[in-house]
Amino acid sequence: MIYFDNASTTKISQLGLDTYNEISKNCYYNCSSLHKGGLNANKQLQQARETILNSINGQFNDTLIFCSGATEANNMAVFGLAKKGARILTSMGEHPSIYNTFKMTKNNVVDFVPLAENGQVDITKFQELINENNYDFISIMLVNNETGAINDIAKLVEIAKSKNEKTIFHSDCVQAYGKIDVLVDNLGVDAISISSHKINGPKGIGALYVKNGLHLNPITFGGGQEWGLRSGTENLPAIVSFAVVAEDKVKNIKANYEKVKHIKERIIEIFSQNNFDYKINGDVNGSPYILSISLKGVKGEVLLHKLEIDDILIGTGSACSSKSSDNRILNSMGNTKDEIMGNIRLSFGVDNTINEAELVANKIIEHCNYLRNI
Amino acid sequence: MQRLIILRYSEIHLKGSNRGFFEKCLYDNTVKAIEDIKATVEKGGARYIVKDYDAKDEKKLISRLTKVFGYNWLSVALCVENDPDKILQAVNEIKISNCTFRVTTRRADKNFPISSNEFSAMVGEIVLKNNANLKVNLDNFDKELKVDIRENGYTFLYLDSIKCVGGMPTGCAGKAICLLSGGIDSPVAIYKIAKRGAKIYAVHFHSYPYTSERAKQKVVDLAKILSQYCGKMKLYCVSFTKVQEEIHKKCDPKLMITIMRRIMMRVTEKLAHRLKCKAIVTGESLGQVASQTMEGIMSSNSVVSMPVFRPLIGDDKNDIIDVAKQIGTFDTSILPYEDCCTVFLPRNPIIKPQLDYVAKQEQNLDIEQLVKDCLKNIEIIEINP
Repeated sequence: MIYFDNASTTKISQLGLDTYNEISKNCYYNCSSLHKGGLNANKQLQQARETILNSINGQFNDTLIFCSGATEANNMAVFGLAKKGARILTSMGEHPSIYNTFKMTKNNVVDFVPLAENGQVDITKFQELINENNYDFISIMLVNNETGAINDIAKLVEIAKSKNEKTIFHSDCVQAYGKIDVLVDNLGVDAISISSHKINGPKGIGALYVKNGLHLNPITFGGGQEWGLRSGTENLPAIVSFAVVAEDKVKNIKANYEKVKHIKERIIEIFSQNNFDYKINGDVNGSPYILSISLKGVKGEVLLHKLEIDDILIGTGSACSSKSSDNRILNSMGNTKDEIMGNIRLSFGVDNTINEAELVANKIIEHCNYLRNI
Repeated sequence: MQRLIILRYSEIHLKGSNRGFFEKCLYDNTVKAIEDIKATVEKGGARYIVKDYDAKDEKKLISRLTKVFGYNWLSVALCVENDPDKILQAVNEIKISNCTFRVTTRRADKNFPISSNEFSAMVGEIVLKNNANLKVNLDNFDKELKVDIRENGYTFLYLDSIKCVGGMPTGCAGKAICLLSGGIDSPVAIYKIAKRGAKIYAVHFHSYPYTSERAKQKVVDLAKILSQYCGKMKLYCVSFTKVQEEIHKKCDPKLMITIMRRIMMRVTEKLAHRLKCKAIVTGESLGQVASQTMEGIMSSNSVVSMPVFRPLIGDDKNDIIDVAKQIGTFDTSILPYEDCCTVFLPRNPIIKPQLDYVAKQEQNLDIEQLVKDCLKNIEIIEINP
């Protein structure tokens, strides 16, 4: 099986699995328990927190709250950091856990900045909106999950904070963390969301980072864990496994980046050598972990199913359905309906190989030639 | 004193000398519907009684039995001997919330020492003693407590009747093969025809990889919901990919749906003969989509000789949706996995296909071979409730 759908989720690494099993077996205690088991569990929890904070250049007095994943982290940021009546700016390219959450907020005015053709936030439009309005809260993702386009968050933060230094800037870093540098001091952000299962860690665990001094309101209530900001017994096996995997990813970030970059480049090379008719969605120099392409005269979902018969698993931006042919992100980049319907997303991981890239590229060409001729 | 469930027939009591056949069918279906629950089923007049079950299973039994075609109503009853003191003692077990009520006694056991009206009054007195907020109203009542003193020496006491699905016992009307897509209509059509006593075989045409495995799974899920009413059934999944590709390549694109439907009907009829089914069932409703015009229906009907039942032909979409919601298929039907890929859907399908033109276009295809290929590539899925 060739798995090229790593942007949706990844296979847990041996390191992650071993750690998860080890903690499940030997440190299964409740972190809040007063006995020595609980104390040991709490130490593991705090160590995991420190590991992740270190991996993003966070300070010891910053807050890192573990939660069930990036969707919850993003919801915590939106509902916990943006005050009632806050003026909010986000982009058309955000993940549904940000975009739909903002759509749900009732007492806020929310502006959506469009995307440029390369998939990044349209920086001119962003500047215009900042000039015209006074935003309390901004959320812009670092790497787009569909196209791999990388936003220049440091620059966007600079633009926003130069108008209003009190603006809270949050960034969804789910597709970036462990793959490209995510350093909160360099980015200048106030909060970020990260997730474990996108970097070969276990599912069901993520975190929200919040800079020291910012007031976060909880969105769930209960036993008061995580300083009362996210109640519920801590999922320690997943938390420790996440931290161990994240540390490993950040340590090998450059080597992994180069490996995956070659995979993406090899696919593009094979397409070019075969004069294959396709269009890259987003910036070709975006994240090497994601390659989004549109194929004229082919339905992305049909190609997906053709490839799955060959044991090749990929993603698609749109279902082959007359009722759901829209894709907000590709649409905002100016793609036509046919380009959206013909979209596929290849997303890579460190376990993928050049041989797999060659096989997949050739199979895509073969199936597209067939589908274009029926 | 024991609790039991009384099931009342629907129209079986109208049957004459062949009533026994329908009763046997209903009995078998009832036993099958609750075969995994410890309980006994016995006949008692024009009704069946389910008894000897654990109290914890009562709700599950009710849920299953209300879905057995052939029953109109069921009631949970207390059963005691025909002894006035024992009956009056059992009345204390019956709780009635604040409302108006009446007591109706039916005294089939003529040896019972107290008259019906007199005994109703005695029962009512106990009910009122247990809840002083209740009011008696013999004509305009919210609840009716029935006291059924039977000839066999036992009395049933029951309060509420629960509506069952009605219809005729599944299987009593023979076998039918039904086209099942992933949409809203065909599951409702199957439900309606099964309700009239047909044993159902379902056939689904899929065009993987042009449609997803999830579209097929959706149909399996729909069949599973339907099996709660129809009982175990077999779903025949026919790969239709090759047929669609051939039509797409060789025929007028405007006739795509028309020719597809005709080949589906041919395949279904062949399968029906194999399974000894006597009718084909479709979910067509007149004028609902381009292929469901009179001309479109005539076109698909003309390639088969077996009767084609279309239980929804005169129904509005909203009426069909109401039934789909009521039987629990709607939420699955509206999942966004379609059974026909947009690759093959013409922009402007012909609404009124001319038979001679359709036949001429079909000459571009080796219909006989395509039908044979379809029949060779069938996956049979056993569906259990």
